[in-house]
Amino acid sequence: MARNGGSSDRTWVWFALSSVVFLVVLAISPIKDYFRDYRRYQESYRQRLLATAGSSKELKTAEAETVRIRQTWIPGFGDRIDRCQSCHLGVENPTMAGSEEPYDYHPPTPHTPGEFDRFGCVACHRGQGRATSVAEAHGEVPEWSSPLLPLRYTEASCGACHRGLHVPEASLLSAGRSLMDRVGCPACHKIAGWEGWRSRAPDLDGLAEKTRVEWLRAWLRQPRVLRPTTWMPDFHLGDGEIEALVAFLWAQPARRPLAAAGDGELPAGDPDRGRKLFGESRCISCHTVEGRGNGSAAELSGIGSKLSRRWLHDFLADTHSFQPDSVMPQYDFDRGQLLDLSTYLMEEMIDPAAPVAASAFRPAANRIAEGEEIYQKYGCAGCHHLAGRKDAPPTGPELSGIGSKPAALLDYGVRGDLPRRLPDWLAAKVSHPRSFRAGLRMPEFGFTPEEVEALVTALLSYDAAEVPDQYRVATESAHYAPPGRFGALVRRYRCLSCHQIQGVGGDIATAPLTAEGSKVTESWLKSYLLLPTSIRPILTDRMIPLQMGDEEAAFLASFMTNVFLDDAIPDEIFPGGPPQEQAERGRRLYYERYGCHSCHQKGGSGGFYGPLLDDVPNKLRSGWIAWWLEGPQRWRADVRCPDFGLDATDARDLAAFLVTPVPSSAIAGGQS
Amino acid sequence: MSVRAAVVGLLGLCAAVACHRASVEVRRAAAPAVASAISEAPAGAPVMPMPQLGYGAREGRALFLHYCSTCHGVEGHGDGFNAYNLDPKPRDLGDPDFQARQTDDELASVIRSGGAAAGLSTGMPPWGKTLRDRQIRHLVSFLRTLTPEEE
Repeated sequence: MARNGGSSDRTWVWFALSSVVFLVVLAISPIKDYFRDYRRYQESYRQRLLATAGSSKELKTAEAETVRIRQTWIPGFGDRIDRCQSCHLGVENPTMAGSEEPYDYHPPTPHTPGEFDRFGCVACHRGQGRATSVAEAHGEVPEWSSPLLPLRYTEASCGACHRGLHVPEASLLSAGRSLMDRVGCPACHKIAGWEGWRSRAPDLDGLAEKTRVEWLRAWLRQPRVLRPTTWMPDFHLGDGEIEALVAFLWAQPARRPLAAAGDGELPAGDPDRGRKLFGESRCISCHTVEGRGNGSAAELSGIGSKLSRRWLHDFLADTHSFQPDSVMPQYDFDRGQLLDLSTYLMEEMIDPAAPVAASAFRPAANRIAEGEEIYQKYGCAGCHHLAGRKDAPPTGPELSGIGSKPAALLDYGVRGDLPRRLPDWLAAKVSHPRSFRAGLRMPEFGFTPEEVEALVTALLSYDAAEVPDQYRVATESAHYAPPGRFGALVRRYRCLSCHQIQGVGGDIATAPLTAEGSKVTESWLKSYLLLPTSIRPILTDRMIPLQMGDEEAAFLASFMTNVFLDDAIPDEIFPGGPPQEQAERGRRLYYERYGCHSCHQKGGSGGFYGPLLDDVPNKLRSGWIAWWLEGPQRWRADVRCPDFGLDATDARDLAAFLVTPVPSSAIAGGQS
Repeated sequence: MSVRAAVVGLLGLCAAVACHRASVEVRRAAAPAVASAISEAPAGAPVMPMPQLGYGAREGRALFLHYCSTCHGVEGHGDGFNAYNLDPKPRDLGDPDFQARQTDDELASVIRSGGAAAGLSTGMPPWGKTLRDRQIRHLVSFLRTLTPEEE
């Protein structure tokens, strides 16, 4: 190689130079590390600890702190390595609560403090766990593939393991998922975990006999003008599209013929009796009238301007033959009641904004075919059904994994104004889906800012990250379908629309029926089914009188009090009647110690929050009362009656007082 | 010749590595390394105004609406449906004097142990066995967001 001295010298110089360069390059990494922010933060944190140390032990701990990378390694959770605590030093130190970042204490959640070793930080907050510089860890960089989740959406991460609709202690996520269910995102978008979703929108058969063509046109143009609280979104249909859709829908035959050929054939009822029946039937337990009521079913204030009376009459008489999947129970109204109620609703529930014309309409054949295309184009069948048709489900983009989609892959269309971040894109998408470009089909829902925040949180919860099985929280997939006559009655009266039995059913009634037989007497239950008295006057959504017959009520009461039992709940604890001494002690506990009268009405005085207690001797089993008092939340987790931590003696004494029939004058005298 | 090529190649490699390092540094400099590490709101223009209750206050609000509002009122003014049956009536929780007088621990203590334990009415029941400690903390966070009833 070295044939002459000159060349050899040059080689030596090159070697020397490259060695120096090598050393410099090798030094870059340690030097960079030396100037990392976490060193500064850790030194500052140590000074704080030293300054605030209150004992020699704390002082020693603070002195022992060394500057180092602090990482959590979680082999069981995708081999996560989170180094966030290299800077966020106070997250597990309660004395740091209220400090500025990055020293603040982590606010309490169901998993913190206490489970940092199980979850780390990135599982909830996202970002780059292995990074040791602020920018790289937080990913506050446009187009970054795994940016930090803005704090207000952090609940989205709860949803990675908790796949159910309701996630405890995550109110925003739960609200968002409930909203997805209510507005029907799964109707058009495939989302993993929502496969069994079913729409609650009405079937559209036989509209020609149900409504008027003018009303349908106005409805399709702007549903919220006719009913501001409707869940039907605005598709911004053009006049031509509306005409075609109306023609198609008008041509769909009814599921069953109406009894009367025209409204004139039905005898008029008495609207005053109808009004009374409407109130007694407690329709607003589900529906609303001018906003008042439960709101899980439609606003009724405009239906007189929408329906034909003969349809309404037949629908009330035979509800499920018109809407087989409806959650509405079948009321057993008699002929006179049907006439009164339908007259009242048609005369009183008038919407002044609705069109008044009622013209005969005969759709042209070519328009019908055109309307069918519109029907399919906008995916009407995603929510509404037509008997005898099997429409392909609408095909909006799949939303599984949307929660971790990189901003670079999102279609911003003409929305150059949006920040290139997924949460902002989602917020804009659900707020104004049509603003991205012309020709999009997703309708406008008119969400409030609160609803948008909840929806974005829920959508962010459907990320593509795999969660190990041991982290997944099982979702309730309970199934309850009772057979026989009891089952038929449960379906006819749609008990499960409001009540829960064995974890299945709706959430309108506060009373789960699973152990109803351990709670109430058979005679009370029968009389309650025949004439449901007010248990909680504060509620607008109360048990409805279904007008069922005596024999049916007796059968249901007998079945439930013999079958719906919980062996953990004692039966009668005072077989010989409640001992007077115990009852007297219970009376003092009731008024003086526990202040039960603040919420409960008894003997003509007290609050109206909890159930009325005057009929307890005839209604409740004493064993159940004592059991309940020792832990009401065992009956249902969100029971509002506080757990006073009663011991068995106090609980039995109170039960003795409650099951003792006492003249109201005696109770009034006992209050001081 | 081959030596020179190798050395030049090596230097080129070093330069490339150094450039890459430099680009990392530049990128870091571009994003402000602020001390308040987690920013609550995205830095870009907000898409639409959104309510900004933190997690604790939000959970507290949900709990308040479920357990407390029937007596204390939805806005905490002591005007809930059941307030009219109570003697003494619930106070206006948004009252600035009351808010200033009570520490977080005192508020939590009354929620946990009830009115009677604090020498007040039995009308306020103890919630310490119904709610977890952190839920009571959430409630206190929410109470701190309340403002007095407007005249």
